[in-house]
Amino acid sequence: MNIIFQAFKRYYSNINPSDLHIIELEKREIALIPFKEERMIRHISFKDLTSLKNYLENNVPLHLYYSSAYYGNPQAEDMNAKCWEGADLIFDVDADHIPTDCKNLHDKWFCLNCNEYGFGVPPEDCPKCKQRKIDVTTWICEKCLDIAKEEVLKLIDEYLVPDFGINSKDIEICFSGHRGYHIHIQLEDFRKLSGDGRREIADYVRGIGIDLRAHGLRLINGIVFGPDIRDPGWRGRIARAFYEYISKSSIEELEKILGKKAELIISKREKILDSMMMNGTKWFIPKGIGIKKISKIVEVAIKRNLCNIDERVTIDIKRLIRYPNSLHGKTGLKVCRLSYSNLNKFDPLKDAVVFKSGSIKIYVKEVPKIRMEDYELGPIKNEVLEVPESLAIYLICKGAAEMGK
Amino acid sequence: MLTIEDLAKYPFLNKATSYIAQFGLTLDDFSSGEFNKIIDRALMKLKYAIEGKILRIDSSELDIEILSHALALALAYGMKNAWIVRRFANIEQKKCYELMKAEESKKLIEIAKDGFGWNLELADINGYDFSMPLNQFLQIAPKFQSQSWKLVNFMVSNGKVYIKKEKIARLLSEAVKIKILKKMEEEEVKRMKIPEELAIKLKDIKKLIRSRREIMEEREVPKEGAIPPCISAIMKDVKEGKPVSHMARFTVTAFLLNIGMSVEEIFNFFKNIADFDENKALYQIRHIAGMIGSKTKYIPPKCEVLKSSGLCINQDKYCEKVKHPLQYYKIRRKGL
Ligand code: SF4
Ligand SMILES: [Zn+2]
Ligand SMILES: [Zn+2]
Repeated sequence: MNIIFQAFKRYYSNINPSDLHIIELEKREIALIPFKEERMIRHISFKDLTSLKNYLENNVPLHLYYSSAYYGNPQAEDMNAKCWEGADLIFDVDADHIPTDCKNLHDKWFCLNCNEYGFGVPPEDCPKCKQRKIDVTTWICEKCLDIAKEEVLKLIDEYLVPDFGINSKDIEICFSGHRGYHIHIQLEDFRKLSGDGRREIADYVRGIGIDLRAHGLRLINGIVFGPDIRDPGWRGRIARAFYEYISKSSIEELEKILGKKAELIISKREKILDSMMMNGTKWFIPKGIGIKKISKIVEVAIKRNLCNIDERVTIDIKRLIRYPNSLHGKTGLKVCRLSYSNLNKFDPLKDAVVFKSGSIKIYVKEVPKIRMEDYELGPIKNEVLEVPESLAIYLICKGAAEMGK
Repeated sequence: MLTIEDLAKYPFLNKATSYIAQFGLTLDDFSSGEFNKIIDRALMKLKYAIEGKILRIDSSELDIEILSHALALALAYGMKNAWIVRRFANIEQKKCYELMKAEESKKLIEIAKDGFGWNLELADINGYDFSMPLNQFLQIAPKFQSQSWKLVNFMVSNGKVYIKKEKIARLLSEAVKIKILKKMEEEEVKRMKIPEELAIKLKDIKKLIRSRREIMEEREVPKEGAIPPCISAIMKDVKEGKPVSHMARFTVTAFLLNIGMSVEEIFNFFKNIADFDENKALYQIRHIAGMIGSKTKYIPPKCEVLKSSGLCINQDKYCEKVKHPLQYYKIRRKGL
């Protein structure tokens, strides 16, 4: 770990204090996990950026966090004495929470009790010995990162901007330094929201608890009425999802929902779509397909529109979150701050790399196929080789490699 | 424009507060006997609140109406009895809800602005009547448990939530209730003392509170000693008029139904709950009893579930042997 410590120390010694800027630093609790021990050091606060920088230089963090909350006394240890004044609204999008096929290739879990192991999303309890002692090794993968990025864009483009009325320039995006992104909304309007209020926001973007009737889907005198595809909010989203599903789905897909009646939809497809386009709320639905079946189709159709966020992060009004421009101790990558406009072209495996001096000889225990910058590696096992510094640090941080002799 | 009559109808308005301030009265001033009319009206308001009844506005003497409201509230706070404050807050909520539902839309906009700083706007789209900023909506709406109050079931666009008039009335009236309850925690209110001369006049009110609460306490449940601690704890809260969560309510109701209490008995027992809503309560109890909608009779959640929702409290030695509160009851009833 010495090489990691040295690298991180170098990073924090050379950092420009202004890169550590966060809104209202003096009201935030700062927390870190040091190199020496696993224990988190909490309840520290700083009046200005220079004193923070000096502190980090002398107490190099493996992981660095700050509170989403604003406190009157951020250094108080007792939560009540901290005097909560508000908190940023935060969304956490992480590949860990999004099911992807490639996880079977690069994520491995391992039972500390009986040595059973497997790939992909880890089970809660070991399937063999039923113990809850599962250890996981996860890897950054381009596909997972892309999916996470798409999820962020969906959240912003479909929810935060049009529905919640948040200007895209008021949205701060941070690459987590690992497999996800944090979206920070620091607007005054949202700071005072209670945990309950935040839950409603989280449920809104996850589509939890939707009642289709409330959005205008109902049967009146044998005629189906639904929301208009031009409607804002969930109304329009429901209508558009249904429209898209009807226009694209195959008979096999429809059969899963409708059984034999799928044929009815396929034969009348044009007419249904036309009715939604032309009449707005008066949907043409073939006789024999009831409101229950339509609701079923809608439920399937809107799945694509739901945001895969870790709702606990959004609901928690006292969350510790990664510090922008700090380093992630499991990867050595920088927690990059991004604006909406440069998210698209952001390549974490290039743009978040900070250690770029030369190459280092390492002994690799086991890695799947991975990439760092333009260097590709793996899958390999038990090999000594020389790799670029960024990759060496990444692998050592992961515990998958050691310094080679 | 908010008229004097509006202030009498909606005494929580900030305009009403400044109107009252003009009179420059303090609690001590009411000792003199000069304001008996106001005092009597205030006592009447308290009495109605205790009995859970709405007292209609008397528009013939608006100043008395306005001042007596402030006095009644001050007395409720001064008695240092949270139960009566909750009753009062509840009745105010119900009263405001009824009045607001019938109010003109323009007036509601003014009320929301002056009372809570909310920025309602008229809207006429997809059957909605108003829009309001998302953050203001979320101050109150999450307090309602039903699915129809979830944000996801509203039309939300450009930072605004679209909402029907009836729901605005519900939201505003709930805000009224919360305002009354919150004030109880203010230092100034905590320090408030009722002068001797006024305290004497509260004798009947205090008696009424006691008898009212006793009636509720008499409605005991069979085999009291066999009730598990988790259920007793919730029942205690109910008896004290404390608000209890939806889950707690469900648990108690299902439990009591399962040990043989009737819908009627449970209904009477719940009457004491601060935010008691007769129709809703009856519906819920019947529903849980399996009389409405589905035929299934509900059983209370098992210990594991109660533990994870923080309702398992004061566990005793019998708890170790059981996985379900009903099992606890069965075991202990035999021994009694
Ligand atoms: S262990 Fe079960 S019965 Fe005992 S208090 Fe807890 S929830 Fe109730
Ligand atoms: Zn195992
Ligand atoms: Zn992947």
